[in-house]
Amino acid sequence: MNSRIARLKQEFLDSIRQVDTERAEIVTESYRRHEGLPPLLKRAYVFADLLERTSIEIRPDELIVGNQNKKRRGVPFFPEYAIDWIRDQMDDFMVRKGDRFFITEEQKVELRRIVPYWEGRCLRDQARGRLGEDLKAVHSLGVFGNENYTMSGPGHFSPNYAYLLKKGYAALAAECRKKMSGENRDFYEACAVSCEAVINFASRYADLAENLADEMGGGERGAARRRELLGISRICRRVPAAPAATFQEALQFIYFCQIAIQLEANGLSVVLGRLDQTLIDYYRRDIASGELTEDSAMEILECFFLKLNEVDKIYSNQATRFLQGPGHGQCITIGGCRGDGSDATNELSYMILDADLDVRLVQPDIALRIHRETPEGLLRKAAVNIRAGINKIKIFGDEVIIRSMEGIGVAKEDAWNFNLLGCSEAVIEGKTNSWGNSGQVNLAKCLELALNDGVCMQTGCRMGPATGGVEGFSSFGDVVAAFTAQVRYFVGRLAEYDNILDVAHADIVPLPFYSTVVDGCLERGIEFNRGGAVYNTSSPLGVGPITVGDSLCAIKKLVFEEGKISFPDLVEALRSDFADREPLRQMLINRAPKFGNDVDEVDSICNEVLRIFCDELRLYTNARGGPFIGALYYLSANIPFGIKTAASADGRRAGQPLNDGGISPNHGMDKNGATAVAKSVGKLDNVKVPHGCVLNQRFHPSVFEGEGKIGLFADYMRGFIDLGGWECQYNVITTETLKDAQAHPEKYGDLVVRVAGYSAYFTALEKELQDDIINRTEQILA
Amino acid sequence: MACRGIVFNIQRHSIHDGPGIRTILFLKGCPLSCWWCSNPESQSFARELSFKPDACIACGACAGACPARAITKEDGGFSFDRAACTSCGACAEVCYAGGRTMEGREMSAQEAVEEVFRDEPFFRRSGGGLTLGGGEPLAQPEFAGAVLRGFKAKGLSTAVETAGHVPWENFTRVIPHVDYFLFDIKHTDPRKHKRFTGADTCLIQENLEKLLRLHSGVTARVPVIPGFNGSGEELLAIADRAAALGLKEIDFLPYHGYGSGKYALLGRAYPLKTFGSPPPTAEIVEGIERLKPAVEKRGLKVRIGG
Repeated sequence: MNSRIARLKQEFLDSIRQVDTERAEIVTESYRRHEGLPPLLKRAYVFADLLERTSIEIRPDELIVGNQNKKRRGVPFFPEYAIDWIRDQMDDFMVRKGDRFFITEEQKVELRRIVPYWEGRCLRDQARGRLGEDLKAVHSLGVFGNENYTMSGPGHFSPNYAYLLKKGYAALAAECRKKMSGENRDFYEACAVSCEAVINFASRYADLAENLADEMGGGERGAARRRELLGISRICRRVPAAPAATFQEALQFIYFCQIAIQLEANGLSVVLGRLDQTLIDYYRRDIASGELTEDSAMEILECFFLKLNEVDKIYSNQATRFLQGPGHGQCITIGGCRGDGSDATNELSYMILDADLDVRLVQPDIALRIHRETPEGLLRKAAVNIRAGINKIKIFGDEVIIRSMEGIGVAKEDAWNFNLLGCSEAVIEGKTNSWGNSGQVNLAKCLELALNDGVCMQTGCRMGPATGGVEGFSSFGDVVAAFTAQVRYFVGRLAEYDNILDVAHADIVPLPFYSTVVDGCLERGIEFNRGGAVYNTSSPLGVGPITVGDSLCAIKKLVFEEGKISFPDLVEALRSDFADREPLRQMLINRAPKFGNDVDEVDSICNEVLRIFCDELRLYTNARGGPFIGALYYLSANIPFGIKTAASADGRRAGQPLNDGGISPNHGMDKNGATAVAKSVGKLDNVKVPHGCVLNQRFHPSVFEGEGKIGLFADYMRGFIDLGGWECQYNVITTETLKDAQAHPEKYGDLVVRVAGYSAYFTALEKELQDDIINRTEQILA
Repeated sequence: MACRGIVFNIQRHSIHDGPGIRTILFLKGCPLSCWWCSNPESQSFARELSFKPDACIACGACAGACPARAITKEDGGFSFDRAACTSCGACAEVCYAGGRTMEGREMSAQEAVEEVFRDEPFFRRSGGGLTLGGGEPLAQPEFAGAVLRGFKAKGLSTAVETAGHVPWENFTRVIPHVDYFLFDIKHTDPRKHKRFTGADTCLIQENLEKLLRLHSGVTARVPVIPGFNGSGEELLAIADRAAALGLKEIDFLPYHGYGSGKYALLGRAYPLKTFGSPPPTAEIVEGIERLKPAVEKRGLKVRIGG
């Protein structure tokens, strides 16, 4: 890391997360002024106003410029989506459990001033009015939810940067203006205004850079920065109006678009796509012409990475429980194959990993696509980053994902060109409006209801359909049928709920700028939210599938096959949260196999759970004409959903978290090592889950210790992909984790420490030996 | 393949015991009894009961199941008369909490091969395979031979970790089916060796010499045990011996006490405790690092930790 990057990083780390009310003020004022316009045009003119008036700043040392708002880690508000949480929770922002933001009393006054305008007008309030009493009541049970899509724009897509960089926004604006004489006049006017707004935004930066250059002091350093500022000014004058000509222009172009997309509608997981592919020609040209050296290119790339970290978001208290942390899914995809199956890896794939190792911040996410031809060197480099504790690198299997894309109607000529969103969702580069993470269904709750005739074991309230008591179940098949019926009911209601929201987005908050960055909208004259993109999906998440699979397996084996316990007796124990039934709980834990151990008996049941959820979803079509598809990942939803779920037949106590990640084994239940986990995951029909199955695995650094071990880790990753895995994310534990494991052994039962001829479960060791390992770990990581 | 053996553990994703990603099949029973042994449950050839009081939920099921009446109810808990226990396993059957478990299970060679073969995709990717560990795997020569032969037939690599204290015939049964031998040299002084392991070095030395005439894939392994062989002098004497025998590679395995807690579960005392507490692993590793250049000068490739 050079000194510029070090300074920029330090400034970032020294800045605090805080709210910024400027966007809310400008947007509210502008909405009032454009009251009479149809929503599409209103949104475009508000967007233009915003980009004209939002404060801008160029900070010392920056090479890539642009801000969401004036403060480095300031978060804007989007009152047009939802106002209630801002009104009710502003006093919590500084004191709540997770994701705290600084807010002043003056800012609160400012926010309170705009509240009345948005009440009843914002998307959430209007959508709520469309739900109907029945659906509202079912939604309030909390078996499914979709908080995220009522408080911000959809996000979850990749702009077509490869195309936009070559086209330039001036040409795009001109085309839109030309099309205004035909059909969909308002749409094209809105898009033209948005294109011009972004060009104007950039030229404000060009002016500012010029002014700053004029004010630059003397001396060598002053002169050097002056030259840089003039360079920045020239670049901002050119892009995104004109096509990018250089590597730096391309990154600046992209960053302006990222900021503009965020300012228009917020939205998680607006990803950068296959950046190594998009940028390679610019990079090679600049290196060949001498415009850049490898070092100077790296510096620009690192500046870009640092800027991505400034894109921060604030959510309601409720949503924060589902989406914790400052990472907002701006993912870069590297590696993978081309359309002809050949390998697409290039120098930038490696450079992106190097930059990430150097900068070491939460953004960007890195997705590594792996296929047969992926070079060994790239895998090893990824392994080196993982060893260094960069636990955000995710690996993905090309073959499975391409087949999965084709399975949901993606054309063969597009399927190979997928990239990854923030978690594990695959979308086609520049062509998909995915509605990723559009709601969650608590699958473990569905099983609880299936075992209790649709009645909640915690409250005694009826929640799901009456599927009968277990006294009437004569076979394991009856249990699965009852579970399926519960899933069917809640998936159906969620699809209904999502579609009402989907239409509300189109009616209330159309997105003209979004419509310029994704293929299909401008060609067909259809706005993004109305289904303009080439591919449209909705993908709710199933939460707790492994908790369900492990529970079903225990029921199958211990109730139906071995008769060790009667079904009503088991259900009674679950209702009472195993009060005085500890031996039974231990039997459920230790006498039935658990997912993650390469045991076909339970792995096949988990696969059945996955299939039930995904098949039910596929019965529905979304408001944009695309399919509902399944996803088995979630950020922290297993915790709030776990709280609302009674004890389960895998031995989990009431209120405890459901299995994490998506398809990660229940904590401490995978006892046959990492390869056995990979085998279990490989047996799942991952192709059926088009938005991905997430596996989180943690390793003690001893797995990397010694000659050739990086290569073995690369082999391990490749083996996982060979088996048909979709995604895996590795967490190399630190001494802090080990200390936590000493304090909370129950959470770390699977933690293995390896030495020759021996591997020990960390939590099973005596305190002094654990301390010895902690010291040793420090030595390995040093 | 019909012959049966007794196995106490199968450890997948092992990366320090031969090349590549491997699965170690730990065979139960050992003619030696080293003071530092980290797998005390590996020493006896018979199945034996392990009792972990921490896991006990005091449900009393074991007391009802024990035919030898070795478990009796006492005020506020249960007492266990280890001397009366016959290791029949009846209590482990009903102990759902995992407090009472049986160490060791019988398997056929066929079952063992199939179990290990489950990680085939990782073996193929990494050039790994099966490692037989122990205990002393060559103390079950028929079973070891059958497993190695069966596994080798699948075109995957095989390794054996041995302390070498077995009749030479046991080696001859397995040699054609083994790619790598990881052969312990624990000490060069026969008397010290005998005191700390239960056997002198004669048979071991003789076997190693014979093996080296027939097999080129032999690596020396040295458990580095402070108080036994941890001094620079002793370790260099081992390196000299290895070099003189024509070995090319030597692995130093720093002492760790991870297995010390297991002695109590078997109702035994940890012999090494008589030395007082050993130094931290990090310190032992540093000591070996310092010695490394001198060992390399003897023409040996050195690995620390395998």
